[in-house]
Amino acid sequence: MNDWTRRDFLRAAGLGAGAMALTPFLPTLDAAAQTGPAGARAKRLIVFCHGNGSLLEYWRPSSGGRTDWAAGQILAPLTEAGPDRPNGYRDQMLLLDGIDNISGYKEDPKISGHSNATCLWTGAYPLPGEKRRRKSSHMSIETAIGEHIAADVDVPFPYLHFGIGHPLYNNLGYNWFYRDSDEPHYVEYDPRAAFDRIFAGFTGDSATLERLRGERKSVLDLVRRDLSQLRRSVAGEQRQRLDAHLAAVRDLERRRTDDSTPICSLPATPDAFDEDGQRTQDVEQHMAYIDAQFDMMVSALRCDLTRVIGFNWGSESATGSGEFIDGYDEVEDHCVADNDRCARNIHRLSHYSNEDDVAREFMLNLNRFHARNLRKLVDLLAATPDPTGPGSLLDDTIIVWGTALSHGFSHSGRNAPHVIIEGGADPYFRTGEYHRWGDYGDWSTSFRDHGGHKNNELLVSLAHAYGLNIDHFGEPDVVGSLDEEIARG
Amino acid sequence: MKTMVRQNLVLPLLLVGLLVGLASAGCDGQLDLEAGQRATHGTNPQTPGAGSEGGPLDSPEGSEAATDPSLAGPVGGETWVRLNRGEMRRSLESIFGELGFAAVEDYLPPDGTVGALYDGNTDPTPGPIVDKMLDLAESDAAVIAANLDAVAPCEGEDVDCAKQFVDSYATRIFRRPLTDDARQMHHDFVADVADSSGYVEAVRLWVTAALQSPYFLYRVELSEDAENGEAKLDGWEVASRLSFFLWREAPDDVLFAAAADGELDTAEGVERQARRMMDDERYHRSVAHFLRQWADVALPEEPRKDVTEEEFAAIGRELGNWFDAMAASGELDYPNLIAADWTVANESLADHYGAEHPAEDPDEWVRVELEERAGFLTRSAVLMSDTDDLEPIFRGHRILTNVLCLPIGDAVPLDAIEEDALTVLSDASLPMRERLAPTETSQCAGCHALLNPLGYAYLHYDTAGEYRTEEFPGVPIDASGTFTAGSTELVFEDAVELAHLLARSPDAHECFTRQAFRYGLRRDEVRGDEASIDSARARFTEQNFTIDELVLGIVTSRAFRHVAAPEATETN
Repeated sequence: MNDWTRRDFLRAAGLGAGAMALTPFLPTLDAAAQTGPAGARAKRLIVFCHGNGSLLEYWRPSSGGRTDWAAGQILAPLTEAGPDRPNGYRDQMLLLDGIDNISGYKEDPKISGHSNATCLWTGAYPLPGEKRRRKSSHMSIETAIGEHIAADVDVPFPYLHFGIGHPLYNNLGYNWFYRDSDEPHYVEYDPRAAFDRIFAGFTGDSATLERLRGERKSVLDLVRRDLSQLRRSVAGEQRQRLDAHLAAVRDLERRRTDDSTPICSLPATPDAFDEDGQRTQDVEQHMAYIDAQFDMMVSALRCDLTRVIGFNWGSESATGSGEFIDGYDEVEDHCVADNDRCARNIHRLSHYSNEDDVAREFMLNLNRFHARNLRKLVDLLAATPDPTGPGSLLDDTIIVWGTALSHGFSHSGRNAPHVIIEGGADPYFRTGEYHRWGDYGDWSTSFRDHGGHKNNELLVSLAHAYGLNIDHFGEPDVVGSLDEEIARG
Repeated sequence: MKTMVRQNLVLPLLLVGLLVGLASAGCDGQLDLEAGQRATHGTNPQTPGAGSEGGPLDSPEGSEAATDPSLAGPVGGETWVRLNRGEMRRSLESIFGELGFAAVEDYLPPDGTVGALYDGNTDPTPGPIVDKMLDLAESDAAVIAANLDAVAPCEGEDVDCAKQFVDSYATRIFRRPLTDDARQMHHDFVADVADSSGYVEAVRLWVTAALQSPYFLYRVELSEDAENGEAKLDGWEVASRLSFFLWREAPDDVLFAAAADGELDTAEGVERQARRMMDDERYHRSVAHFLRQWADVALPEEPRKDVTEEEFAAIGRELGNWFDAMAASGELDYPNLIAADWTVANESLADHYGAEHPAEDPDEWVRVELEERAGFLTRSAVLMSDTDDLEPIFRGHRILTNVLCLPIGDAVPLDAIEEDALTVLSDASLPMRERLAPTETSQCAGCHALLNPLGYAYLHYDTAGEYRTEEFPGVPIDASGTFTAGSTELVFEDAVELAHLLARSPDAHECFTRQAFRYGLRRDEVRGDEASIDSARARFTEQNFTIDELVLGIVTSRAFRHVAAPEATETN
């Protein structure tokens, strides 16, 4: 019952095409006809990130220059040969070496290095606030792009956010993605909850669905009338808040009860990974959890329920253990010998990853683990047909993978490495190239200007790929893009 | 790789916020208390005035408020805080009982903060949360429908009974009686559903809608009966303010009966109800919650240094147990909070404090006399709440801003700090006073001259909360200091003496009143609130500084029972 197709549904509902207006799945829009905003070169965006920084020595190419680079240890999983892909995704990758995350160049000792997480996709300085709880003062780029696309394309969700919540990636309060200043996005960590929210109403029989829709409609109608009645008796700020609430309820009503959701084959109902499930120490279970999250993400794109996804491996400053990372046993042994250095704490390991062999090896493996899983996601996208046109989901999709710090041991936002992966025959970016700016060393801990570019410029270029014509993003005084250097003409 | 080692230690240290190299506005030279710059809670001078009419306080301190004409103006406006997750769940359970509702945390994301002291939400309710609220309301309503026999006001399973259900619960859920029109609307709704789907469905769907109603979700205050820019809250609104302050949940039936009878229209009536509510465990939980917020208690994820898991668990429970013990013995007052030489402890905690545990059962929590410690600020839960290094800055900061309500500026940018100074600051082999010396001679000195002496007072306690006499072998601790700001001068040998000075300090009393006011009203104060704060302070001072009297002073004040008149309402 889990894998519904349009045909299955129609059979179950006992309806012919003529009666489809009564069904909850009637596609009012022909997905393939949804072209997107003017000037857009890409249709979909996945923003991908992880905490505790990278290791530039291993992230950087092992040899070669701008066009003849060969992947270093961290990115190697993305360039390994696969079926019909002798170089993996090497030719779809653009490596950006020398992008300064904003707090790398706007220093403030009161913010934690990990507050860089709030700057990475927003290009904006965090709001004042408690250490560890600082929030961004600006929306993040996938929000802007998602809303821009949703203005032209009727998708139920302008963007969706997913994360992996194993203790290795636990959440200490740093949020990567923002709807607006001080408003972090809700991130789905449980694939079952994601399934319930995104594919709501798809799992029952048609009569059940019809009834549920009717109930929700009448309930939300009463909620709306309550809100409207109260709205009439107030003014000013409260009225604005009620207006916003009312708009959100109307939107909810449309999404949960109307029949514009395009039909598609549904993913299997995933196992729930509630907090306990996310905390499992079992490696196999954890990999199943990641697979389930990826399935929800790919299914949401496959059903054209969203065009934009933000994904984070837990939070910045993650302090969990990491049983599923190669080298964990050595870390265990090491912990016994020198508890202060790790205590099975990835954040502490990152602090010592320049001077301690075991910690370095572990962090390298962790970064490779992220790359390997990203490879898995990209493979899934490449193998899934695009519901809006010919080719695969990977075509016309841009994936950008960034981290907020160059190194865990420096906590410097300088030179935070980024990779763009873009499929399709006519990519916006100069894929296949490696760009390096400035002279930030492999093991540098510096916060000084080294001649790099600001991440705001990258975010502006990213917006341009979707026809969102802005000249700055985030901090208003940082204007410009990287188009001349990294975009194709 | 060798050369990076030093920076490797320093820079993370700085960036995780250890060094508050405070300079700029708030601390540019000496504080001028006579000009009465009182800080909003916390370090952030931009803390919004929570929807206030007059903006954050920026004029003379409270004691002059009653007479100073510059303090005229209406009390603060309503903020329509959206209930936090705990309030939503506790309110529902107080209305229907503990029926096994799902954990609200499974549905709604963490709350924001209201002012600096309370979890709640003042932002517009964003789309994804509305989505989750529907799911949560459906889940809660299903639980209620499954327990309908226990909660229904009538036995006949028909339209009339559905209407009775609405009449029975609407006031409790919406925290005010329905208007005639609204009542009709809700009756029509259940009648429609009952006709088509039956009584149980009518109740279930109505509850689903009611739990998403703005009257349930927001702290709606509609009073418009304005005079001099202020409106007197009606009894229902006072009942809500009282209940959310004292119990952190929606009012009970008794309180609503008092609202209906007009009892809450007078300060005497409010006091009578408040006294009733104080005799309840929920009140003690709220006081403990306030005190934790006030002291910024936030334990690290793991115990530090030699602290065992058992001690760490006990440290986490100590404050609540101690507050309860003080309340039980009638000693819950400011001097005890700040300077008491006793706590309650099990054996692990007593060991941690190096004190005797006078009970046979090691798990029994009993009164334990403490040496070398005085009050809240020397308890390990507080001492462990700061970072693991350069902690005097944070300890000083807590006293300056939370205990004395003095303003503080922003940190000096990292690149403005000399390399030499960074070297010294990061040298963990130096005694703390030497490490922090650069902050006292540079541009940072304006603030650190205030912060450091207060922080050094606690050098006897390491970041695990344990008492020590030496910082390093052979380096004895000097915790003495002098704190001077405006007319305030505190001269002390150590944290115990400082605690006794703070216990007697009128500045600290006023600040504590202010913090309790902010907590109780879920907003920062405005100019027009000063007279109310001052009257609460006077009552607190005159009545032996008990927390109960302070709370009574606040709930009977003008600001608590009034609201700035809303802007003229447009009809639409």
